[in-house]
Amino acid sequence: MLIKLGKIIVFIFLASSLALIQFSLISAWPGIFRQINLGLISLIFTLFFFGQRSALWLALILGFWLDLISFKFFGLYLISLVATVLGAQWILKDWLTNRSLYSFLLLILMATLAYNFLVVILFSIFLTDRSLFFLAQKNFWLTLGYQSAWSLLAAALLFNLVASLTKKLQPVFLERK
Amino acid sequence: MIKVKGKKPFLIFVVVFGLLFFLHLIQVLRPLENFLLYLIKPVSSKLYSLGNSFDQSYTDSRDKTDLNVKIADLTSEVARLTVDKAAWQEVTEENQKLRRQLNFLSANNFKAVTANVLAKEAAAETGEQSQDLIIDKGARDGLRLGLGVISEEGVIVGKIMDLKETSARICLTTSPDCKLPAAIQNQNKTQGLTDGDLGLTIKMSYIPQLEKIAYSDIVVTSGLGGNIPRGLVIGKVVQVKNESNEVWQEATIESLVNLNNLTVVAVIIP
Repeated sequence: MLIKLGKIIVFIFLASSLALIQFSLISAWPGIFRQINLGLISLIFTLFFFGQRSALWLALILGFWLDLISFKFFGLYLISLVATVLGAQWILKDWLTNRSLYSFLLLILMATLAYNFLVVILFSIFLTDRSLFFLAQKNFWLTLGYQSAWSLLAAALLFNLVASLTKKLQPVFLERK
Repeated sequence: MIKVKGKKPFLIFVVVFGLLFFLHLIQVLRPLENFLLYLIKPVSSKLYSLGNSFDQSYTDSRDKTDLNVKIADLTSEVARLTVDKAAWQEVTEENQKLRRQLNFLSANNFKAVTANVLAKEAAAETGEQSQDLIIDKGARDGLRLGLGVISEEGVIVGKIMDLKETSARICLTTSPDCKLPAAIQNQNKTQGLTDGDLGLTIKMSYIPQLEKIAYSDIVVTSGLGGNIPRGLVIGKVVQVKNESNEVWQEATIESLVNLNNLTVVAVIIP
């Protein structure tokens, strides 16, 4: 019981630290580095390697912290992150058949696209100035491009790191025996 | 990892998710939220400073090629400013004497609340380049919407756009829609509104063609509206767009401080 409680506390602490790093540290970085979405990368990593339940709780803690600090409406990050996890789980379960690098790359790319579209759509609903329609904004596409590139890079690094530690993962190409 | 044993762990998640929303809406969570924000402020501020140092060193390394030109410019600027400073000191001393004689209140007699920057947040989630700042002081500290925010050097850097009990969101003078009533320190004391331009510079539009604006003219707050005291430096004119066939002219203004590297600011309460 104590061990389980300890694990929960460590999990909450790590998730909260992640939110703070994303909001305070990464937001202060210059240009393209600011586009790293560490929270989302961690979420998809958790979903891929630890399952939906852990990913959902991580999304809940991350979203709560981000909504708390942010000046956007409460729930923007909570809803977006939880919905992204649910969407990614659907892709993982129904579309992808193995745990290869390509699966992970595809999953993280789809999740990044889904998350960004979800956030701006939700935000646009509550935005009074409709002239800021996001599809016509050059910066939206730039952000999406940079964020996808960072996510793919992080996914490749993380997958190889985990693959070197465990033998559970599939090789990149099927080997002929 | 969190694992809830039982028949429906997903249901527990949904309940917690719903409760968070509900309790936030009816403001039951407010004390807990304020406590959590209070708890993270020091860490958040340190993390932001750390990120800012990285930003500064990254920008410095990129700008190295322009450094020599910049040094030459700054050297001549320092020489000019030294001469100006001497002249201003004379005027200031004379001014102080007159004020004392006339028993006027000091021009800088306002209360200021010092605040740490906690984070940067895009003005809208549309990937806009302009970034708002989030500071660790809010309504509880006496702040209110529209108040002016100055840097350590005393240059106005923005104003309060949004407030929570323990934090506030500041738009920078370079952000679009961050409007400040301003006056150019020229012969006619031309008045107008400044507005951010693409998160990079400040512009002052709708200036009548007859007004004479020169490069390096200083732009200050005009004090109109009452929320921001007059005389706070916004920046200096770096470009004047003056087409003979246009009714208005436009001035591009550059802030005297680097708005990307603010870690401590002060909110002026008039």
